[in-house]
Amino acid sequence: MSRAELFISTTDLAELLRVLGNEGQLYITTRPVASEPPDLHYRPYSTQSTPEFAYGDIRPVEPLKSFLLEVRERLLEYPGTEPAAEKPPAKQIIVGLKQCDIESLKTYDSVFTQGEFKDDSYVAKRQATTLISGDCPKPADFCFCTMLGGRPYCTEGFDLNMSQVEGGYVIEVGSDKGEKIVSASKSLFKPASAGQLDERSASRKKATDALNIINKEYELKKTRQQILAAKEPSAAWPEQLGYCVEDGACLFACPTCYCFLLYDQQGKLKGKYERARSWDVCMYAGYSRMAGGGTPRPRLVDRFRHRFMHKFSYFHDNYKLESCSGCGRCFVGCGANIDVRKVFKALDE
Amino acid sequence: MVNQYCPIDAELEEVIEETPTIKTFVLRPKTPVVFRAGQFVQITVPGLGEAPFTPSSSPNVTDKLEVTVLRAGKLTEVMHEMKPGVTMGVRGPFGKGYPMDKLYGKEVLVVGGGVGLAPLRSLILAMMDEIGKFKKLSIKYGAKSPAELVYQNAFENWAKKKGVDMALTVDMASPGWSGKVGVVTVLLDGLGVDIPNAYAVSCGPEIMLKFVTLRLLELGFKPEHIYLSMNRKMSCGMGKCGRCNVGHLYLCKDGPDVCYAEVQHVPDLFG
Repeated sequence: MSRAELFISTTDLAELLRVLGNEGQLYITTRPVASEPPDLHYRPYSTQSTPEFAYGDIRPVEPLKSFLLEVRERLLEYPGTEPAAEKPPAKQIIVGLKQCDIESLKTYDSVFTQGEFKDDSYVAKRQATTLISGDCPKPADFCFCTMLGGRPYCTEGFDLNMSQVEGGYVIEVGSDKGEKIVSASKSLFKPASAGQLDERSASRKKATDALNIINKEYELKKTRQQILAAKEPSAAWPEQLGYCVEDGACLFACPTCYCFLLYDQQGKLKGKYERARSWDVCMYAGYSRMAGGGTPRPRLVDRFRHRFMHKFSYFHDNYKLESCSGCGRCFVGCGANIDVRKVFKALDE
Repeated sequence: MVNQYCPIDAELEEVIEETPTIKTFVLRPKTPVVFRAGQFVQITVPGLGEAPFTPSSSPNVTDKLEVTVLRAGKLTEVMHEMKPGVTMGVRGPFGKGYPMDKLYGKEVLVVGGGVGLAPLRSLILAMMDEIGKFKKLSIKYGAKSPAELVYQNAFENWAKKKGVDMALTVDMASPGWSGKVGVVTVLLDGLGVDIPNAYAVSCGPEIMLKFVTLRLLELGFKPEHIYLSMNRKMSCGMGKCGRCNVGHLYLCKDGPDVCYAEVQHVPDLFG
């Protein structure tokens, strides 16, 4: 169902951010002055600190998962549970994320909110989070959302979406949460004009065309699932692994990677212990290692292949969804310049 | 809201020394942990963490559960030093367990290696409680040496039971051993099992599972009739943390006992 399309001026947006800053913990994308290239980073916004919002050409550096599955999360204390651990998470509002991050939530929601076991901690954080996204006017050469069925702008999954136009932003309302934000600050919005909507359409088309040109050379003959279904591992696997140093940057930066390590540690009080979880990387040698040292994937190339199998084959089997949103963070973060698109291209040969 | 990661306190009632490297731990959880044969639980050693074990006791006993543990790593080292009276933790059960419905009315071939007989004992005990519902139960069990055979005291009773056929082998004999010598697949020659009407269930080291599976296929078992207990590094128990997957299956949620037909194409099936 299409909802209202509005316009907010750049100055009124600054006012809206001040309002949102009182609603919960607000994070906005900013462009640190010294940063080269001009990457976007999230910064907390509060009455004490009001960093300048940067709309940005593409997604920020940090994946959206950082707000929903903490890098390290304390799950409980035992023996006996501590009531404090059960308190609901604080409300958070995230402004400036892009389509590849909204898309990544499909993976997270599939894993943590569906099926027999729901993840209470994730579900609560997800409900407490408001998502205000933006279009990507100038995709980078590592962006490939369109190869995964995405677009350089959001069509669903957001609460509010912003598209930069002359003098401000076209705002699309995507949910009841978004509707509430608009109703609470009615005076800041006015209906978007036909000219503003045309400007948005033109910008979106330009970005989509740019992505098609960028990714032309990576087009595949077969589907990724067909490519990975090959019985014998391709010689391209070790070739594509190249100079991988197993640093895990690709998977920490990945907005769809969700696997975690569950572990126990000493609690604050004697005789009490904590159970916690942290992000983990399936390319690490110890990832699936069992007592006694055995592991199903002893070689790095086995784990490299597994990473692709999990994201594009096994996950697809289970959820009819590829666990990749084409954000390019894995390539940008990679010390060995491993590019998902090139890996598939080589396997498709 | 119950925290899914919270263990239930369980008192360690008894520790039974099975072999020089394997002990059975009898636990009494504060609230009963009711499981089906083949389902597993996460055992907490307070402060150290969790490790997955499939109970080796009968699923029909609900106030206690037993896990049989090989001393193999950090956590099991500590477990082996534990004395009755201490409090441990149990979380679970998880997984699907053995496909009992499919086994009714069939001949069931159980092939175990080393401590791999532990999960199978739960199945064997469950089957023995209603042995009339199965055509036959053949137990083939092998270990490294006679001293490493677990549950030795039970073997005589099992073998005497009507409808049960039992055979043992060891990789290396020691003085006094008059039985078979060789890896467990030697027990699959001259099986005396009605293969088209039989299911095979196997548990042991993955290298053993590989050769048992190949031999079973050679003998004419259909992939659909072979079940493997792939007890790998299950952790969260809910198909989320992503450490135990075999192909698209999560052993913790979809296993740990998997039908060979479903996983035969997985590249790293046997490690």
